[in-house]
Amino acid sequence: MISLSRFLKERRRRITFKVSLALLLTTSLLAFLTPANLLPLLAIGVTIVFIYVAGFEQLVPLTKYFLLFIIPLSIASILLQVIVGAIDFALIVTNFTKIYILYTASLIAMKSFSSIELVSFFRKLKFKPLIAVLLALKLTYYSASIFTDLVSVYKVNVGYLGKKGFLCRVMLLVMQIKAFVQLFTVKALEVGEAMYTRYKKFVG
Amino acid sequence: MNAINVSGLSVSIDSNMVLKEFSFSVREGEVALVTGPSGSGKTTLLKVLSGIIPNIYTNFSITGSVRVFDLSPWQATEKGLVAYVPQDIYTFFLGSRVCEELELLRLPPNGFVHHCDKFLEELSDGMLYKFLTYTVTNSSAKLLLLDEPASHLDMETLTNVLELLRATAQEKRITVVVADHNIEGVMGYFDAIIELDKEVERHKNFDTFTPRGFKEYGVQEFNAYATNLKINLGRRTLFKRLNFAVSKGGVFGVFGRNGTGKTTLLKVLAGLIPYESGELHVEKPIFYIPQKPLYWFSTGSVREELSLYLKLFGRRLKEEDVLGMFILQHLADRNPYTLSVGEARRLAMALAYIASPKLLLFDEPFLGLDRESEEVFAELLESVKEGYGSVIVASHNRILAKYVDNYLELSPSGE
Repeated sequence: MISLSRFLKERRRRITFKVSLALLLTTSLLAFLTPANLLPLLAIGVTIVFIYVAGFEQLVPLTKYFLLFIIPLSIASILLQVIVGAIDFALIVTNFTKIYILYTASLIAMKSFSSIELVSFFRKLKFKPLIAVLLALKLTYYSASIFTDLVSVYKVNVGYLGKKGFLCRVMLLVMQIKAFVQLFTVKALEVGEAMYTRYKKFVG
Repeated sequence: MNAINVSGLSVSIDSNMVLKEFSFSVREGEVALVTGPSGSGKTTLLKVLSGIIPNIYTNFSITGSVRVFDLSPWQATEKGLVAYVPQDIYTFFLGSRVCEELELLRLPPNGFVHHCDKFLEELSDGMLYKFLTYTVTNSSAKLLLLDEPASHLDMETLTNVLELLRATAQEKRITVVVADHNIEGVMGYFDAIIELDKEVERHKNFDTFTPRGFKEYGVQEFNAYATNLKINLGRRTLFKRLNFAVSKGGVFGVFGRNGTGKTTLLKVLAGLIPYESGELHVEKPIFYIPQKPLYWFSTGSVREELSLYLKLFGRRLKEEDVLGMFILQHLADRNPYTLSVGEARRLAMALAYIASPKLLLFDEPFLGLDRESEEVFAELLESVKEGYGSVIVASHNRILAKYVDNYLELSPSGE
């Protein structure tokens, strides 16, 4: 018998670039225009679209990352309201539902946009600083992989020093940050070299 | 017609001479090799030919004449005639996926339709160079500058890549300049060899090269062993039942072509990637010298980096001794991120020596190393063996076989 997750996985669909763009814009507008009592319905609707494009199994990571993102905000918000002297839980819930809707709509867009379509879209808009955008995207992509690699190397080679105490952990963190900054600069220069030597006439 | 004409070229930075009174020429459609020891200026020469030095890196001073297609290098680059591929080939591309790059360059996906949605990192090395050649030949580039491609490729892939470059050069009249060293066995693929030499005071000092750190640990039979180890990478099973043991004081080799899982195995041993099933025992502390990233240093100079590690690991070695052991004395005040590949590897070896691990994991030890640095590597292995530590080296280069006591040959089928 076919499992529910397999059933949903097989029925996962890809929505077109235009539809996902329209969905992102509409949802963003609705998040601010919809009355508070109808916001949960909008949140459910966005969640269903998310399951449709990403698959049911992606719902757990979505919730996990959203909670990681929202918990510090919740604490800060409650503390602020305590200081002001008027706790309004309804306001907090409404705001967080809006954030959830925007967050999920962005994820849907990220799942649906292909980078090729993005490049074409920018071209059609005759968006001149395209090369800067691409450079920024490339560097963001590199930053993530560089940081992961660096943390791995330091974890193996000097990681156990971090167990010796707080000061050692701070020292280790400073080492990683310094290494990341230097390596990031080198990669930025290399990408810049490629940009100047090859892409100047193709983009922008 | 000559594609490149260099006459009396001298390049210096901060009063350090990188290239001195250097002259050569390369004709259109030729495949040339620029070779020389680590730090001899191979990368600098390529960056001069592409105009990056001194137009982006303005702190270099240049004398002499450099003409690329009868233009200044920067003019040739601005006209799109030059394609410079850095050591990290992935930084050559702005797109992350195959078709994204093609869309950027407005090229049809001929021959790459099946790879369209693949990330560039997912392409095999052979396919990556095929893609690179396709993008270059279909753009206006007439000069392709490749910085150290051989160090990442196994011999079979390297041969295929050089055959591809040669055929492309002849068919499309593209000039190819490869900067590399130690690619014996494939010299026949090059029409011209340009040798760089560097007269630098570089004296090895092995007198003080004693394996003090390694002797601090007691003798055990094995520093690492695996029994029926199963390793998956994503959905792919890399190894089904892997068995090996690395004796205390032993040097163990992991050999295989690109993509057979050598790096993954080292990462599993380092505890960075989990394994599926089986038994794995690894003595700690471990020191891991990865193939990527090549640079993972955190201070502003080679001397400071050594000093930091001496402090971190509480070693009472003298900085000057370590600098001498690893032929780094002339580089002591250089920023580690400005070192050549070979020099950066020597610094990594120096840090490993200071750390005195029970198990040293070394990914592609010969990456960028010249003959002199290979001697340093051999001495390092000897000192580790004498001190009852163990070394596991992973490489596509079978020349390393002479340094190991035992080895594992990995096949693409995961056997």
